[in-house]
Amino acid sequence: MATNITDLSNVQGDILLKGLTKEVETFWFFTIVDSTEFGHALRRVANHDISHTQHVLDTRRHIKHFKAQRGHSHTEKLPTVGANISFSFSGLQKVRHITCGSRASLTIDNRSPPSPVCK
Amino acid sequence: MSTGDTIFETGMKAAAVSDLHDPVKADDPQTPDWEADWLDNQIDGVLLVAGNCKDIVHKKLHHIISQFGSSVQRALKIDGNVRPGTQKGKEHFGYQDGISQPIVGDLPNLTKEEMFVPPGQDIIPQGVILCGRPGDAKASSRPSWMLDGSFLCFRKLQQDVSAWENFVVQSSSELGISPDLLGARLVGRWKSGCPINLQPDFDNTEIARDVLRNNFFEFDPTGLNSAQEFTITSGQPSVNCPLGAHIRKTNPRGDQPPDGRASVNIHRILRRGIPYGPEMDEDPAAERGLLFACYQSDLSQGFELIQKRWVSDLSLSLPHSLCVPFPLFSNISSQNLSLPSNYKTQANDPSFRFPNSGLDALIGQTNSEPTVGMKGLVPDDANRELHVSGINRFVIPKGGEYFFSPSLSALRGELSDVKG
Repeated sequence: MATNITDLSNVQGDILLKGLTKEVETFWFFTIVDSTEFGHALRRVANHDISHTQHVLDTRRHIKHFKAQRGHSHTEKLPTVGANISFSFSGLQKVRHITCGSRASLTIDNRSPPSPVCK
Repeated sequence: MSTGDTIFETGMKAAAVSDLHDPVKADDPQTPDWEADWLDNQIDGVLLVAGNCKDIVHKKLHHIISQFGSSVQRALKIDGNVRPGTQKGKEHFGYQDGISQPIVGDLPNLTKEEMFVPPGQDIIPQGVILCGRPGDAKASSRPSWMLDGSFLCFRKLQQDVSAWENFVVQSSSELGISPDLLGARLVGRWKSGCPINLQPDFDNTEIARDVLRNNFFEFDPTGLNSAQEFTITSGQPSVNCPLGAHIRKTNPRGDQPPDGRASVNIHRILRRGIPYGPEMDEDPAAERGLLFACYQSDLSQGFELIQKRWVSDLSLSLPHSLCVPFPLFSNISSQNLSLPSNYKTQANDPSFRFPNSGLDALIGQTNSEPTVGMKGLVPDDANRELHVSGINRFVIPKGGEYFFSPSLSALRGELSDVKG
C-alpha cells in the first residue's frame, strides 16, 4: 500500500511546491557516450550538485528572512541556483545497463520478461 | 527494463505527428517539422540549471558538466529567461502565466504559510505527480528506483507574437468586438490574469494580483459534468467563458464528467515553463517563445491527455453529419438526434466531450482539418463563428522529449551503482 512521502530531500527540486527559484534557466540536453564513466560521475553529481525540495524550501525561507531584515524596497538579491537531472528512455537504458551489469535488458520490447535483478 | 509507461518509452519524436499533431515536414509527412538538433541528435537526458542570474547559472552548469567529463556530449542547449520589468510572469503574447497550479497535498514539515491553498486551487494526491505515492494508479507495480520520481514533459514552443497580434486585431474587427476582449475570450483570462468568469467585460488588475480571488471561480454554466448536450440558438448570448478558451480546454474544472473537479484531479500537471528569446522591442525578428515543462506521474493521464484529448480533440469521431446539429454551439437547437451507439462511452471517458467548441487558439493544433470553427466568442451572439487554422500559426512546436526525473536516493543508489 502506497504511503505519503515523509522526506522532501528525496524529490528533485523543480517538481514540488513552486519548483526551483528561477529568473534564468538553462536546459542542457546531452548524449551519454561512456555509460560507465557517466555512472561514476552521476553519483558524485547527485551527492553534491542536484537540488531537492528541501533545498528549495530552505532557500525560499532564507529569501523571506533576508527580505524581512533588509526591507522589501531593498533591491539586493540573494544568489540562488539549483540543478536537476532527468533521463529520456534511451538514457535510462544506458544507465540501467551499467548498473545492472550484463543481465540488464536493453530491449524496449515490454513483452520480454524483466531481468531478475533489475526492473 | 520497463517503466510501465509506453508514451515515455516511445518518446515524443515518434508520436509528435500521430498523437500530438505537430506540423509535418514539407517533404516528409511522418516527421515533425522540428529543429534539426531535435531530430538528429541523440538526447539521453537533460540537465536543467535555474537561478536568479546568468553568471551563477553558467558557473553551476559548467561545474556539473566538468564532473561528467568526456562521458557526455552536448546534444543541444537552450536558455530561458523570465521577461523583464512589468512583463515578469507573462508569456510572450502578454498573458500572465502559471496562475492555476494544483497543490500537492500532505507534504511533511511545512509551515502554515507554505501549506496555504488559495481559494479555487485544487489539492491533489501526491501520486498524481510522484510515482509510487498514493494516487499513482501504477504505484504497486513501480520498480523501487521509480519511487518519488516524476515524468517531465519538455516542449520548445516558438511564439509568433506579430502573427498572433495581427490575428486578434483582424478577427476582432470581423466579429465586431475589441481585440482585448477577443484575446481574453480565447484565453479565458485577461492579460493581467483576471479570469473572464469574474470580469466578462473589462480587465481588473486588482483581481489578477489577488491570490484569494484570481483563481476562485467556476466555469459557466455549471453542471456540464452531467450534461449530455448543450445547444444554442442564433442570437443567444454566449457563456462568459467560451468552451474552447485555453484555460477551459486545459483544465475543465466543473465540466469534467462524472464528478467535475474531482474527475480532473488525476489529470493535473505541475507547470514549470519559462519564456525564451528577447523582448519584441529589443529584436523583433528574433525567435521567442516558451520552454514548456511539466511534471506528472503518468504521461498518458497528464500532458498527453490534456494536449491530445482536451486541447485538440475536435469531434470525438462523431460522424460528420452529426457534428453539425448536435454539438455544443449549434443553430439548430430543437432537432432530435439519434446518437451513435458508442456515444455514451465517449461521453463518459476522461475527455472534454463537447465537440465543436473549437480548437484551443494558443496550443491546439490538428493536421487533419485546414480550419476549425469556434463559436461562443461574441458575447451577444454565441452563434457567430471564427475560423482558426488547424495548423497553429502562433505557437509552433520546435522540439521536445519526455524524461524521467528520478529521486535523489535512486540517483545516488540504484541508478549509479556501477557494476564491474
